[in-house]
Amino acid sequence: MSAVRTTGTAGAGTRRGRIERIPGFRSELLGNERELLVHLPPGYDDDPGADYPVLYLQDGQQVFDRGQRPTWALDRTLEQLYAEGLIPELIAVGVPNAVLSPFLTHVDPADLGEKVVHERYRRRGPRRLWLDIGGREGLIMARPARELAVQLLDEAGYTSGADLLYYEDPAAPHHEDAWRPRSRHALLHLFGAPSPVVSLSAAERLRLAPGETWSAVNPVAVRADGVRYTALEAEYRVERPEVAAVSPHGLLRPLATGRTALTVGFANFTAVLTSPAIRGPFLGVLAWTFGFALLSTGASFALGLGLALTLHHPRLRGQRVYRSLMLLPYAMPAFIGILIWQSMYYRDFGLLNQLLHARVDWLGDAWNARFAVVLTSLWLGFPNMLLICTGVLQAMPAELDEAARIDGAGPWTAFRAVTCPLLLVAAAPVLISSFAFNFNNFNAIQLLTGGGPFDGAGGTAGSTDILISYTYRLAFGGQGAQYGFAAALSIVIFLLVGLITLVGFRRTRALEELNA
Amino acid sequence: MTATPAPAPAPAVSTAARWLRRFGWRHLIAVLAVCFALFPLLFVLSAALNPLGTLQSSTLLPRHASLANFTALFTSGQYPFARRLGNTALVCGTFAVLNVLLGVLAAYAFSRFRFRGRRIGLMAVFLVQMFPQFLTVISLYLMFAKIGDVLPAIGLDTPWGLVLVYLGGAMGVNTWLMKGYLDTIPREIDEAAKVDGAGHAQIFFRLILPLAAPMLVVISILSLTAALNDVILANIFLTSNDSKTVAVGLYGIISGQQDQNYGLFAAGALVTSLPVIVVYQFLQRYLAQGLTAGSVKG
Repeated sequence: MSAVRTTGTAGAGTRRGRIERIPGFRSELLGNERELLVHLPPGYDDDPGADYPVLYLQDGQQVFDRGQRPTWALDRTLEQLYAEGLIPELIAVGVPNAVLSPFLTHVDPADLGEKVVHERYRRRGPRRLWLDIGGREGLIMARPARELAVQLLDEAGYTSGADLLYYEDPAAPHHEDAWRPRSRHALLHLFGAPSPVVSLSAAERLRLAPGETWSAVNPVAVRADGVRYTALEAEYRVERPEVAAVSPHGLLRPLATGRTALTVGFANFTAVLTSPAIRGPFLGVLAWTFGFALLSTGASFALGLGLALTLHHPRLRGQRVYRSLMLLPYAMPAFIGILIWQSMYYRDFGLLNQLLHARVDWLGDAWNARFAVVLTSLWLGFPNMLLICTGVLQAMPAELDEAARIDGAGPWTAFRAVTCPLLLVAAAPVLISSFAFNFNNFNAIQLLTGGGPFDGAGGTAGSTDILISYTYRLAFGGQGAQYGFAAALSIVIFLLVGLITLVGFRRTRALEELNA
Repeated sequence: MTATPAPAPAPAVSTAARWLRRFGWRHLIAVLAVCFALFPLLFVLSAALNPLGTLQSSTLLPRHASLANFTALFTSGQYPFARRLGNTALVCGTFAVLNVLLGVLAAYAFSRFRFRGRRIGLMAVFLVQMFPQFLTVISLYLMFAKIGDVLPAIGLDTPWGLVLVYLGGAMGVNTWLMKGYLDTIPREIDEAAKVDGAGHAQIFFRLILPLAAPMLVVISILSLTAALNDVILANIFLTSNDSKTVAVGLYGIISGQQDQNYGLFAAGALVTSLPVIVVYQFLQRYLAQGLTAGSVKG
């Protein structure tokens, strides 16, 4: 089995559940009787009132480890997963085949199962589904399994890697010893939290004999939790297109005799710009990212500069005290400040509505929420700007201002023509890095609104989402982690911010001293 | 920089009206700004002193004062706050010291040596930091899981491992700030020392480090705050309840049960912020100096 996740709790420390036998369970429909095997989770006796999901296992005489060989030992796998906290506790029911005929279980996994899966899941719409097959179980088994998976993707609205996981375990034979480790993957997919993909590889050699028309490549994706599956929605590059063609589902079509190399990747970068479902939210999020970064930086700088100028008077009393007090939001760890603001925005008993005697839905309305995040980042950011502007103002020789005054300039003209340009030059690098910081200010969005509010149409992008919070949700969010896509987005973010910074620095000539 | 220009000769008559016109509006604006800056903090203080400890019963000005939330914070077994404070101090402190050391070493090289790739290197150090670090989490996690098999001391769920992760992603801006500052230290000082037979190590440790002390302070504060603010990486790398940091802990206290635990959260927020706030107040002069150094030189 995959060794991606290292677990120290295996074996002795794992709490055991228990297996109960229910003899003589009668099926009216089939007219026969059988014994049922029920695996109760370790916590079952702690709380008699608790509800559990129930997992039915057909062909169930060998699913639990009761000393017989071979066995799936699914009870052990379940207990291990409970101990690791990866899946909720559940009740597993093994339904053994009836004594007289193995085909008189309700479902036979090899052939009836396919039909049941097909009928039920096509009609009821996508839900989490796991299909697997061993590469050494023979083409007669492998091909229908792959075709069923492809059909579900094409016709029933499933998405590979999200709700449908199909895994062709390359060297696995038709045997319990091969199924045992795979059952962990299936359980994690069906009951566990989504997990991002950490690698995708297709190191295999396919040889097609003349006349052989059906063959499929098997690119294996590995998730962070160790689950492996066949990437059925990938992008292929064929080195010599005249030799063979590959469908996105990995079906190989030979065109001529020859050899060619195949490269596989997830179809991510192109999706950002070509898929309408992604392009729409992406462009919206991109626009707000710029809006948020510009507004936050601009407002903070304007307020900081205004206050610095206000306090910058040689005979103003208490200016040090004022500055020290205004510096407090900057000194407080930002995540705490954000969490405080978040609680103040509550509609029902948040402080802001309390003070304003209003019932404004600050975080529930798109524009209110946008205003709220900008206001919060203004609060977080202006002291820094105040500090810097004050520093620059104090470092500026007083003679400059005096000279302007002597030349007849009023205070406004002196500020506009002398102080302001000097200040901007000095503060430019800070402005650029502040812009870049806000561009990726994950905490401000995630802790305040979580990217929301969402429009309810089921889109993944919320009204206050900036690229980085959007990316975070794609990578680690609840509904089918799209780690590959998120990684592609993060490269886009990196290029954008890098470019802005580079251009900014070039324009302000901050780079010139590099050549000094 | 602290020298204020000599005050102009005091006017003979100074009426209240004149004072108002000249200073009154400044005070008014300043007071308003102070209110804006402080009211969330006042609210947290009030919530922390509120014995009921719920968000609903918290007001801007404290109605009752009790230390119940603070005692609960330090005695609760569910949220081992004192322990987390210790973890945080360890992680942030170690990180700040090492980060400053790395930053100043790199800055010294960029400031004093001329070598091929210097320009690109400087740019790269800055740009690499623009990459959203949490997206490397998966690879970092896997890497540290493997490292932990060989060297358990710096594997997952250890403060040292987390410090290493932070160090990997934090050099950029600090190196730039430091380089800007070192550029303002005249090179003649190095040359004089060189003539006297000092090597690079001696120049670095005996001359440059003491001269750059204000900037070292600034960078260590910035590093400290950056590490203190991290919720994501800390949450992923420090898996067991006892090894978590304050940021993760505080987030955990209110996520889901914001209303009930608000007093606890507020008390924790105050205890965590207080040391940082005190340090900032003492060092604000250095901060202003350090953040603009290199851009307003000469």
